[in-house]
Amino acid sequence: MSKQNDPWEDAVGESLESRVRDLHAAPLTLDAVKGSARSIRRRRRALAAGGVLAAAAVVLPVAVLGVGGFGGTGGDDRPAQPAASESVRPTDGATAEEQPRGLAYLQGRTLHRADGSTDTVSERYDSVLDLGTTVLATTRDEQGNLLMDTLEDGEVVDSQPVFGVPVGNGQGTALVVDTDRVLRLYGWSAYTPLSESEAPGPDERPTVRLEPNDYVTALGPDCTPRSASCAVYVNGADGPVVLDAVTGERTPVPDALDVVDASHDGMIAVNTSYQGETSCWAVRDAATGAEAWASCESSLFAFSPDARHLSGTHPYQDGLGNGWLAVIDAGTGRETARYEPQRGSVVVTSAWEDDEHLLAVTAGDDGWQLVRVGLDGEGEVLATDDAPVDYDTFPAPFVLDGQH
Amino acid sequence: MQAVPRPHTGVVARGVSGARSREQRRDEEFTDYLHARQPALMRTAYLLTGDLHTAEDVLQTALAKLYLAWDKVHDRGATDAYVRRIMVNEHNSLWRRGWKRRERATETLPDAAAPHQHDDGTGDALWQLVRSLPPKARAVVVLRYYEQLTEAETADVLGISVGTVKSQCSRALAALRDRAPADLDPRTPEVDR
Repeated sequence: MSKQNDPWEDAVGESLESRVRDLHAAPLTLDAVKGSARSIRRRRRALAAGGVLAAAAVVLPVAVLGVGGFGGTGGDDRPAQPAASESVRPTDGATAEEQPRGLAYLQGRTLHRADGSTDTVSERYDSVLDLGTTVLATTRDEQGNLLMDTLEDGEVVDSQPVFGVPVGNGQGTALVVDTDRVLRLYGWSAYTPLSESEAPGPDERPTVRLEPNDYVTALGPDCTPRSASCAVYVNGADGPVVLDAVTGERTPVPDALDVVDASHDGMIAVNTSYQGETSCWAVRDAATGAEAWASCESSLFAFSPDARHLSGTHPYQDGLGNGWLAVIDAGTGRETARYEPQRGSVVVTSAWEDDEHLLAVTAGDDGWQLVRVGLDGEGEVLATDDAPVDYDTFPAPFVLDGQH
Repeated sequence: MQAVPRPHTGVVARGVSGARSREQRRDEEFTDYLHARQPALMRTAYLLTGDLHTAEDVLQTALAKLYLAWDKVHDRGATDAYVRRIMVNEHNSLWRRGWKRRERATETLPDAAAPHQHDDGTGDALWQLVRSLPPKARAVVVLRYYEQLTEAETADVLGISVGTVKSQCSRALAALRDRAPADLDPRTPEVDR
């Protein structure tokens, strides 16, 4: 060890050197490191979606808000989607009116609403969930505690500590878990918690709580003030279960590691296995468990609002972002298109903007970008940010509504 | 219910075999790195954290994150810097969560990292002073005076400016000077200690 000029610096250096001179321990094996890596990857997947997996994309498009489902059918069995319009003012109990397309996202402290308007908010939130009239947004304090703000027109109208990031289902309902792990449903009729509203239904609703080690991965489509049941997909100590937020009943999801998303038309996307660095997935009927298809070619993120497609990526997910974003036919499991960012960049998060577009946040040699990806895999850069790209902490400057 | 389609065997075969080769290559390279660098990184981890158990946990997390990023860390010469940064951040995170404070209540100092046989007690005393520094200050001290990184290299590892490195070093040394009894002052002739 060379001498520094300051005797204190030299003395400290020598002290540290002598402290570890005889320390030659190498306790970690490759298997131990890979085991930790798998745990971190799972945790990052959850955090990248704001603390919950999937569900989010089904939340999207402020466009697809509506209580009571959709009206009319097209030439197939899928429910028709509402057409675009200029305003977003859902009314309690009404069917979906014409809604604008688009997705809310946060860049720094600017909230870009789906209708093109912007609000300046007071925090650089870690997650945002747009319920139309309100936005639920979360931050973490230095101790890691989660605080949820309810925003109207960018202004904080309520704040409360919560256990998990709110999860939406694209139909105007959000699931919030409070610090007692009690499940609370929030409707878009203002920010009144539905569980505390005078909603019709059972006279007595039991308090439904998460168990220790539970975390919410997806919210089913049937969670409205008038629902007799509400499916919440939870990953628990013994694997994934369906937790009914109304009755409290827990039902295991067989042959699955994770339920990553639930579509509005009753399908779920499931991770069925990890095999080293590859993974296998399936789409199943949520009610019957019947499998529509299974594949090990892609890992799955979220259904598009119309449930015709899924977003995904390669089966060997990395923790720092993925090499490409795939568009997958939800009926067959075949990849129909792929967006690959420029060399040196990865896709960090993504979310469905509407039936035909994804928004993707990329990071790499070109810095941060927000990219609109079409069903053909073509990307259009919507915005850039000059925040530094830190591959350890990945403080993304763009936060997508329901990101993945 | 739709029939399960036959998978694209060509695509699956190419994709799966390609993924296995990539995994094997990554594992071989990573194993070589572990063999070559783990002892040195463990020493740094111990100096950052102050105890072997925490050091092992911090190092395991850092190596796991490195493993996840292995294909993206193009500059292999910067790998150690990457691991050091993660270790510093991980230790800071543990400290903020109070985890280390709870663990310290029950730990016993391990024999493997004990004062060197030729230490007259001064080194050990200084080490205790370094351990008393807050995590960020201790990280600066370890990187500058044990790892012998330049101010610029230290700034790069910690993700801070060179000016901040200078000021943190200055403050850390000042804190050590303030807390050290006179007989540990290296400016005092040995005969007078």
